[in-house]
Amino acid sequence: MSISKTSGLSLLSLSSSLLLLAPLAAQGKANDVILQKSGKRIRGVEVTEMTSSAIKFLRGDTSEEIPAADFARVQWDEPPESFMLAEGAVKRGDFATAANLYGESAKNSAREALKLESQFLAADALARSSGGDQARAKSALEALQAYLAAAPDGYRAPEALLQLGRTQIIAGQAAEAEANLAKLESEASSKNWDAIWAARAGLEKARAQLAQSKLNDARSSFRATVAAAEALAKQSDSSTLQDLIAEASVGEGETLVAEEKYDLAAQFFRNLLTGASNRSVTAAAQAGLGEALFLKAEAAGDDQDLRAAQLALAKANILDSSAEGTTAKALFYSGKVLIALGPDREQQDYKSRAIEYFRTVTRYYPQSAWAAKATKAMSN
Amino acid sequence: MKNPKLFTGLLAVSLAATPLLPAQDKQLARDVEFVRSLATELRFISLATEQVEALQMSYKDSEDFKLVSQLGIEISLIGAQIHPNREERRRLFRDALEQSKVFIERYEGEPVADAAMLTMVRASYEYGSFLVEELELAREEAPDQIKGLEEAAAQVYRDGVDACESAMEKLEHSREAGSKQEQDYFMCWLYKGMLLRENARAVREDRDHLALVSRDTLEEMIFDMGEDSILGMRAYFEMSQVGEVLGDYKGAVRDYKDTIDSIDKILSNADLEISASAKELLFGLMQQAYDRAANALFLSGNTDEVLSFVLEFREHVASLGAEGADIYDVADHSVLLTEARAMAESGDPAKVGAALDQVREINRRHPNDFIGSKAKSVLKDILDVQSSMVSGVLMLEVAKGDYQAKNYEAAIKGLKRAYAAMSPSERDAKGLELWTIAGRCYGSQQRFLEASLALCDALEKHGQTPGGDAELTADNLERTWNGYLRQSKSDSDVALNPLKDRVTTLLGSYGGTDSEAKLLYNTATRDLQEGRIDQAIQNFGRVPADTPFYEPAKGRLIICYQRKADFAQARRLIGEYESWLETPAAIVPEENSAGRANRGATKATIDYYKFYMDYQEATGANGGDKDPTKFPGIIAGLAEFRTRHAAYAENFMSRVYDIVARLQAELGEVEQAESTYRTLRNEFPGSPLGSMLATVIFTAHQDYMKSVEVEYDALMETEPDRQQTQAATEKLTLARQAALNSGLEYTRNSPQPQYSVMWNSVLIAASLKDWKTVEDLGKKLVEGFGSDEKYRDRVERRVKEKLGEAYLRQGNFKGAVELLAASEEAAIAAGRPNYPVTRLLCLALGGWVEFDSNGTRVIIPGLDKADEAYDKFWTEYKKYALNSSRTQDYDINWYTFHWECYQFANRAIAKDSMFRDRAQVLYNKAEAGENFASLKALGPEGVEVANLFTSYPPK
Repeated sequence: MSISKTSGLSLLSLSSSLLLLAPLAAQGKANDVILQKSGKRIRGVEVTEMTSSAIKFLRGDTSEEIPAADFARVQWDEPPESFMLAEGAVKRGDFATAANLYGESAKNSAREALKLESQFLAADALARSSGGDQARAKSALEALQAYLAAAPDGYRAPEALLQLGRTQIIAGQAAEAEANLAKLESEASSKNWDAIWAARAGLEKARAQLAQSKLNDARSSFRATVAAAEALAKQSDSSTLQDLIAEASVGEGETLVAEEKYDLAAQFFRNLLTGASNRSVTAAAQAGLGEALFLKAEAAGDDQDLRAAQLALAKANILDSSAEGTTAKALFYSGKVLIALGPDREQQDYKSRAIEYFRTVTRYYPQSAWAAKATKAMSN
Repeated sequence: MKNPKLFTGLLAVSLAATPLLPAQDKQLARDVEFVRSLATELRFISLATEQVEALQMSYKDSEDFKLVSQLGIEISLIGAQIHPNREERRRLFRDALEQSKVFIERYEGEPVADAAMLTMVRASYEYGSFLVEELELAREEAPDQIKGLEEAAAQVYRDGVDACESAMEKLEHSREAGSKQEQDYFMCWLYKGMLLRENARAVREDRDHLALVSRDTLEEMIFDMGEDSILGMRAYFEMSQVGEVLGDYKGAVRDYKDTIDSIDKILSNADLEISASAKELLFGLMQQAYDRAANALFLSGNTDEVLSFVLEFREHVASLGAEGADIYDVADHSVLLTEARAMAESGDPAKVGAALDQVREINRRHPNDFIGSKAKSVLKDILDVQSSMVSGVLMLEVAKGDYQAKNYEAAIKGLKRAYAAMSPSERDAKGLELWTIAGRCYGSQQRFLEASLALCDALEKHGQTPGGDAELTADNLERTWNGYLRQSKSDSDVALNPLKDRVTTLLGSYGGTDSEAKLLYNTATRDLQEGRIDQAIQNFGRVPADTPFYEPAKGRLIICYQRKADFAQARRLIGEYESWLETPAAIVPEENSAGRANRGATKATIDYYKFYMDYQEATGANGGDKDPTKFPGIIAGLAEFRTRHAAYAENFMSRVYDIVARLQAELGEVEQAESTYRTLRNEFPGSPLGSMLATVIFTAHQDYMKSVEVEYDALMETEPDRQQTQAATEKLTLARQAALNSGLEYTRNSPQPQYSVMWNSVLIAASLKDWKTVEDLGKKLVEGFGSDEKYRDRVERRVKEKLGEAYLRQGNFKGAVELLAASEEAAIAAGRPNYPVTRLLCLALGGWVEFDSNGTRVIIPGLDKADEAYDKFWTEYKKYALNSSRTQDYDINWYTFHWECYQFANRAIAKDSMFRDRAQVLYNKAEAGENFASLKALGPEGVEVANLFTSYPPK
């Protein structure tokens, strides 16, 4: 632009570029944003493929990639409306709706990468929504298997395999789950997947063994997972690993709860508390103790131990700073304990306080396994 | 150079501040200015609105009434721009637009309507911008709201463009060079271009087309008015943004830099004579250009370029005379926020830390506006994604923000993470504060056990923190522990003994002086809570004057007398306290922060109870006569409660909202009541007041809906024309929908929704033919009340009937038959046949004939068992339908029965030709040799049934 002096206000002559019509759209390509684990974002790119080893994208006309290990997520450029609605549904824990919406997005997406991603998310949401329902779990299995067939080396493959194992347990196929998870555990390194997948598979395998009442096997799998996760944490610690250690540490106690040996379970958790140096483990142990004491009281049909349960669960809540699962579990059982204590041992508003506990789980921890139980508890 | 926002303000003020008609009355002119300043300077929007209403009453027969009405619209718009609550802002924007439309229609053709049109243009732009801000937030926080917001924004922009075109048409002929009319004309043109552009930004589908039209509009304007003015530069800048909307970031950045360069040349040229206000405008425009350019660079992915560009910006601002000034006082914060985002995304830990500091500062300066919301979103993003790079101390600050925003569970999560991330020395320094806040978060949610544990941790681990207020923490602990004892009925379970001992030890070590006064106060508080009012009065009265508990005790005494319904005594004590405040004994030294806090809290308590007693008297809750004339005064007084008492208001705000909403509902101000209710829900999601208030709001909606129904029926009696019918139908539909939405919201948010609200919602949904909602609610009613003795019969007979109809109308005939058949059987077994269910069952079996929305006759087949349906209808339903207690020969019920029976028979012919005769007989009976004349004479319903007959003659 140039200026010439004049009276009054400014005089400007506008650049001729102003008056030319610019192209209606600068580029026909997508404008995705890739978020890396370091927090760095790569903007103005088009994601073309997501494999278990690399995330490939176009920047202008140049093809580039980052290692899958560095990748956190994609912010897709103008995804279908159903995809956005599905994200909203996931945020509020409505996985059933999310599954349908992601399914629509998989059908409507013109982009292959987004299509596959939607397909996985639909299957994953379906699995999360099954909530113990075998029939739904079986539908979820089919969806997960369809995704794995479509993208055997996809970025989401390890996660899909893990979810497959969890869902097989719900579908009453615990033996198959154990076999699949053992396979994932051993193949993770041969496929160059992040080592944490092997540890996570170990944890789920222990749960599959628990579901088959193979309690000794489950206990040793839980212990092996603790060892594996602790070894990984020495190389590069993360809150995910700490959560894994906590979950696996209390796993042994959970086998005792499954056997209804509540006194032994309580003793196990108390011992764990004594030896624990990790805050997450301490929190998980308190939550486990609270659960064992509550279930013992429930089974015995009396209210002894309920205050001790309430206290343990409150402590779990204070201590837990990482694992959503532990806080969600503590909140859930805190609500259950209030209902059990009843009007004789609590003020008249005990029910609404219990409902608030359940509501906190569904609102703030919608993706935890306890959210579905809390929803059910609220409606009861 | 001042804040660039001034530019937008001046832009806006030039459109609407001065009404075209001067006030005929000088007193009125002064009143108008006074009211305007209440809103703009003191931000007392409710008070300003009340003053406007009073002026409207005073000037209702005067020519100046229009001016006053215009002022009302302006106040709504000002309120919409500055109100701290976004829900309330949305309502005020809608009000401003709605009032503008009504005003313009009423005074069409008069000059005052032209001024209102300009206000409407501005309101459309501001509201649309607000919705686009909501859209941007929704993309991160609530993606499922995007579609609704896009549609709302698009509508607002379309209306705005229409208003611009109308205004321009009117101004076209009267604009002379240099006149106010010409300025307004060009402003409307500019707004038109901006509105088209924003419409393109908001709505993906029409983006290209609308962007092109916007560009053309602005280009034409620049050609027409010339390029050598501030407005021309403004238009160029607005046009540059079109490129950004279309994703041409490179082109947009180039154009923005052109604007920056041009303005820089002007501002740097000492030879040019430019007024101070023009310099302000240009400086502001330049900063906006920097903001858009930084944003475009950011979106195009080059964070390094963003950072160097913003560095240039900082230097540039400094060079224009702001050297040495705090950058936050002179620079556009939106630019700094973009810089922070770029730093955060760099992955460099040092930059991430700097970004956090910057975002926190911006957030602190923008507690309630869009920039603040964006800053909070950026903060959350950094913490979620890069928590390993963020210090525990910073995380604590963010968690405190959540605590202050009453987002307690989020605060608790953040506090725990912060503590885990802190180094030992950070824990020593901040641990006491952190766990004390955690205790308050738990306590605010009535989770007194967790609160007590948190506070015990605070004292045990960090009670010796130098400079820490351990005594305050101990005080909190005592409160929460007493709270837990109350909740647990002071349970003597041995499991609690270690904790009891722990608490006792800590209170002994850290509890402060004034212990006797504290003891008295605490005892009295327990007396009050447990209903021993006289004892409480005695004990509060004994709290010594020279202790920190004296004033709080005064506040509690007033509560005691209010509970005793001795308002006179309560008010006398209030008067005494207020007089005491004027005495030297009441002086609180500046450094006595606890004393000042007590003073603030006590004043808030007293103020609240003053209004509460007024409320009880005005509503007759204390046994007297209701006096609605007092409601507006109470509402206005409470509307400014938070402004009067700031942080001390928080303990009362949920109750304040409750009272205000109830009074608004009683006054028939349903929308306002709903808005207040939503504010209560948003700010206090766990409050039990929310559910109870929801039923009041629902009832208010229902009352309004019923009044509209009465209006509608009365209108139909007068044989209105098509336009009248359409307008009345729209109004009725809106009223029903609003009532239904209210009922649904209540059902969603109540832990145990009431049967009556849900059932009434079902009926409303059915009237709207929203069968999906009928189904959803019906199922919930069956699930929630089906096995409750009190409601079982209603559920079996009424709810299942409606649920069956919902299945039917959605084409789920099988489901309908299953449900309705079971319901029918149960009714018969109980000895009370349910004939409406029988009728629906027949429709499900045999289908029906109706007209669709285009007036075309359609046949709904049902389960295609028209023969079975006919038999059942004729043998079982007939005795009910033609019972003389409800049906006379040849009335509408009679004809309707014959029609339904006929259409079954007519279709059953395909299965068995013997139905032909039956169909013919039924048809002839209704036609009666007079071409349905008697039927048509029964009114619109009769005409409809007659048309059905004639559209579907016998086969």
